[in-house]
Amino acid sequence: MNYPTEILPNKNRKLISCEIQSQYLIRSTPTSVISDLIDEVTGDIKQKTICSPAENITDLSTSLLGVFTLGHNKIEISKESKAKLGKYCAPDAEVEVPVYEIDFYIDENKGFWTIQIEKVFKESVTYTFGDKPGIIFTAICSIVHTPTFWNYWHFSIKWYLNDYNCYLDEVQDDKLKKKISRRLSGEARAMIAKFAKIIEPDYQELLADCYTK
Amino acid sequence: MPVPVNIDKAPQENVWFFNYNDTCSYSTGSTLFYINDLKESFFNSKLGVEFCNPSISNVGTQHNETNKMFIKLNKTLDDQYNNFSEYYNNISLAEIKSITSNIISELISLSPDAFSLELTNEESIFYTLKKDGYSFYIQQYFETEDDGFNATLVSFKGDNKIDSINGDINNILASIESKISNNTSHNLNLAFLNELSY
Repeated sequence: MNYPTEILPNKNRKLISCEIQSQYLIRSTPTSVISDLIDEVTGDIKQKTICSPAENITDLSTSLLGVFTLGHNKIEISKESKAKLGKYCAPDAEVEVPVYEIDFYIDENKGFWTIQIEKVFKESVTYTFGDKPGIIFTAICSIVHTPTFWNYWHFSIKWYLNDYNCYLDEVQDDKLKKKISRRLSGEARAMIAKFAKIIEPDYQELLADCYTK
Repeated sequence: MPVPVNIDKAPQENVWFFNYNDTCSYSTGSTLFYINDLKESFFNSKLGVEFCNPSISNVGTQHNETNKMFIKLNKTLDDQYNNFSEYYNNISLAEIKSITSNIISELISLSPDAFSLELTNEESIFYTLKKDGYSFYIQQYFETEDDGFNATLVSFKGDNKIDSINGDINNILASIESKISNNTSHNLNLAFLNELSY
């Protein structure tokens, strides 16, 4: 099986330069069994569906739906190649084409959830630190184009901290980072639980000008 | 059921207390009825009929349902803890239950339209509560920080976010209760209250 090269970075690509609020992000889930994905009582997607326990809710990997389709969502990078292919790279990087059954395979059991970007983009939240009035921080939900060696259409749902002028994952003080993470985790979980769906949305591909040099 | 007080005194001095906690979702308040002016027996009066309406006579059933829900959620917690045990080296299931059981009881007592809980990999539990068009998402951490923080709440009405707050879980509960009661308790059978004779 050949790897779909349309989802790889290449020399003609650039970082996406147009408005994407009306577009959808997609994230794969280990299963497509509906009862495993959705809480039957609340109707929301389950927390374990939003991200696996091993992953970080405040920096979540997704892909932009469009050229990247539900079919591409079934690609699973092999354990051996994850470290190499999962690294961020430039949009126009020249990358090796992943090899079937060495670098990747197809997992037909995978499911997905999608979320419209405008539901979460620039969502702003201001928190105090516990019961200490006056000391606050403001975080803004950011959708960042972060191409990887296996997926040009990779996007991260991250949090930008206005008061520290950086993303949460760039905070150097580990104690502070943990405190902020603990507060933003619930925000990220809530937003996705509220707005994510497990049905294929009605979406359109971006114009080629948006991602081509 | 209403509780008679001063039962040994003359009937016209009887006062009946009806605690809304027993039947409704509201967290506060009780209603005081004087029946000394009633011209007919209490249970034949309009007031008596109101007391005996189905929602009140079903109190026992509601408590049973609440207990069932609590037991079911407890079982869910057991199963999830077993699945997440590798992330919970620092806290036992018994400790988690001791931290969460009161909170779960409080949340169930709000008579939610839907309620669920899920352990996370962050030594926390994530509750989802839906009622009257509100969606409340609560994350409670098992460890309280030195500034008193142990929980966050994100509230929606329909698809619109109302607010996000953080702090102590008890303050979070109070915030949920106030939002729900602001929405509904003002409508607390005002017509019914208008029926009362003093």
